[in-house]
Amino acid sequence: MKKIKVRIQNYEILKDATIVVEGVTGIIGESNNGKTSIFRAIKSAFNNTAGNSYIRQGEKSCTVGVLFEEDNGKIVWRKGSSASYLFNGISMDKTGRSLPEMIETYLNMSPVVVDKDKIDINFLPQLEPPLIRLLTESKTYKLLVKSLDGDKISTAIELCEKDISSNNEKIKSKRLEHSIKSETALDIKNKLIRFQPLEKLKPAYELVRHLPLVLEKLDYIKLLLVDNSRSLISLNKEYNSFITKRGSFKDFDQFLETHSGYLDYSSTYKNLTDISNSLKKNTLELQERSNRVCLVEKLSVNLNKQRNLVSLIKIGHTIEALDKSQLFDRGVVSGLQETYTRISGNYNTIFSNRNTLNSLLSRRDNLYLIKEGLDVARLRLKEVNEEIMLYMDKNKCPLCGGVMNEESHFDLDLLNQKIDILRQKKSKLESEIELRDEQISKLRNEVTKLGYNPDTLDSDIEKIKDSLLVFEKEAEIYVKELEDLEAAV
Amino acid sequence: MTNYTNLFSKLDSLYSKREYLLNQLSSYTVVLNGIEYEIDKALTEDKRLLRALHNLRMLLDLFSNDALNLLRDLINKGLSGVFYDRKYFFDYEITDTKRKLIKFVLKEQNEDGTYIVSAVPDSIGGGVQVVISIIIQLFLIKVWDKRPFLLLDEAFTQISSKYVDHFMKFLDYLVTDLDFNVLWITHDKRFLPYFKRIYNVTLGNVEQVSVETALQQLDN
Repeated sequence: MKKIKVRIQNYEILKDATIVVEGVTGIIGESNNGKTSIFRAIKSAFNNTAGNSYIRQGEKSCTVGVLFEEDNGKIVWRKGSSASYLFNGISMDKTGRSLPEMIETYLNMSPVVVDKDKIDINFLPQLEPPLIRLLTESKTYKLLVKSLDGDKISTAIELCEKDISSNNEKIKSKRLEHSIKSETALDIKNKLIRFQPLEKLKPAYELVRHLPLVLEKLDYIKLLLVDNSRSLISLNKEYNSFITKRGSFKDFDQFLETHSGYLDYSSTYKNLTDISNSLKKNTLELQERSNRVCLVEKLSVNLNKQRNLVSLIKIGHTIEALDKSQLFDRGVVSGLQETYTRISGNYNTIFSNRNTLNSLLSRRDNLYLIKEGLDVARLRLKEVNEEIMLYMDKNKCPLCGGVMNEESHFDLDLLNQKIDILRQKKSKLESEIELRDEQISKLRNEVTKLGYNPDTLDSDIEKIKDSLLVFEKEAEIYVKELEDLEAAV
Repeated sequence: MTNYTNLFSKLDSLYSKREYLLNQLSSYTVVLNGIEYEIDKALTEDKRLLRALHNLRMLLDLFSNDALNLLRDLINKGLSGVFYDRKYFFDYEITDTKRKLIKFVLKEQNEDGTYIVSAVPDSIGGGVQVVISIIIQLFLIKVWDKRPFLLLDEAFTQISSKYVDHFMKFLDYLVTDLDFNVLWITHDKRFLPYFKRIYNVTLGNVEQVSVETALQQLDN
């Protein structure tokens, strides 16, 4: 413990006093003999106390000198009409009311400031309450943690809070600008409800997962089908040739029985019929299965198209979770929400376009089919009309084209019968043509209702297909963008 | 008699951590989790840094709690050492972290294990008040890194005679451990035997005296 030497001259009652402070040093004495003057003298020297009433009566100035043995630092304070300091041999005149900075730094006993109050923690003057009464708990706390008010971190925090609030303002105005009504995650949830039907697609996705296996089976079935068809054709050929041969020999059965004792014709015929029947049955079954597999294949293509949409929904949920968690500032979440809304819109367009396209395509196919049937019916009608005309010409033989007479080999009754049959055919064809015309005009009306011209249907469909491609491509980019954004967050 | 050892060792390490954090701030960069942030840039554009500063603030808040706990432990050490026959327990409650509002309380354990809780300082005795005060004062001088020189004028007269010996032993420990010099002006003769040096002041004249002389002079 290094000593502190103090010499006080002409301060209040003290003429010339020297004290050495070492550890706990006591100053005793009777009342009003100058004990507290020592305290005040040191304090005056350490804060350059204003005024001069403390100068001993009859003297022009007082002096307090303090030597810190620790580092031999020496401070001498002289106060007369003005104050001056001598610090380690350096003279500092006209210091005014303040303590020279150099001395203040060296002494390191200046008061600490809390809430604008100055607290002299190195001094406990007479009659002053103990520190715990002088300071409120909060001030003690602030002193204890060395209050951060006014330092750099507080400025940073303040700026941060300002930045956050200005950011919030920006977000608000942006929201207004883009008419984003969603203030909370609940709104996003409501938007997501639109995609709720996709939940129903889950089983279909399960199916798609097994698609490679199904497709493999399909290939096998197709092979079987081809094989069966071939067998069926060759069998049919064999059967037909057998029947033909049988017809050409009147006594074939008998001939076979007589000359070919080992060849059981009836059992061969029965076997061939059985095989043919089972093949036909197999083929039907295979065709049915093939149709089912084709359906699955078609479904999988549709589902693949919607995969992007599913990832979009996942992202929607993520955004919702992000917003709820409040881990990120509103700017980021709002950006995500904007992109999300954009993509949702895009998908809606894609869906409506797809629906339109599908309905147009089915109508167009129907139209073509009906028209084809119509053409055939018209052609047939024309042929029937011509035939009737031919039969109606009673002077001309319909078989040889020669002149009709009594000796003619042509039977007029038969002719009349034929004409009747042809007329029936004609009336059937006419009603079919009428029906098809009706169907065509109905379909054309439907197309018009959808907002398209039936005459330019083909080119319109191509246009929709093109625009769908563009939208789908765009949607893919957006989804990618969202995924990137999500990853960045 | 209570033995005191290394009461302030934790304080040094705690406040040196705080100094480290603040030095980082004053050096215009902060290194947190291995990433270096420029403070000025952060104040204008880098939001990551603002978050980092928030984290830093949180660390400093944690530090505040540690500092409070340290002070509480020190006061409790002092109270149990000085008021050896009482079971005092000093504690604090943080009522508002943001506005830095806390409340001090003193609990005294009864024989049946229950506590009497008194508000500090209004509902506690003068002796306990001055003991808590001097501990806080020395703690603050240490925390604010002020010169280890304390000037007292007529302090501690509120302490009952039976606790004077224990109090002076505790004060002696603090003064020695913290390497303090104390200039203590008093007319209370109970403290005289514990002073290393004694000066007697008579009509402005100061002279060094022994304990015995000092006691005689005060008796006269």
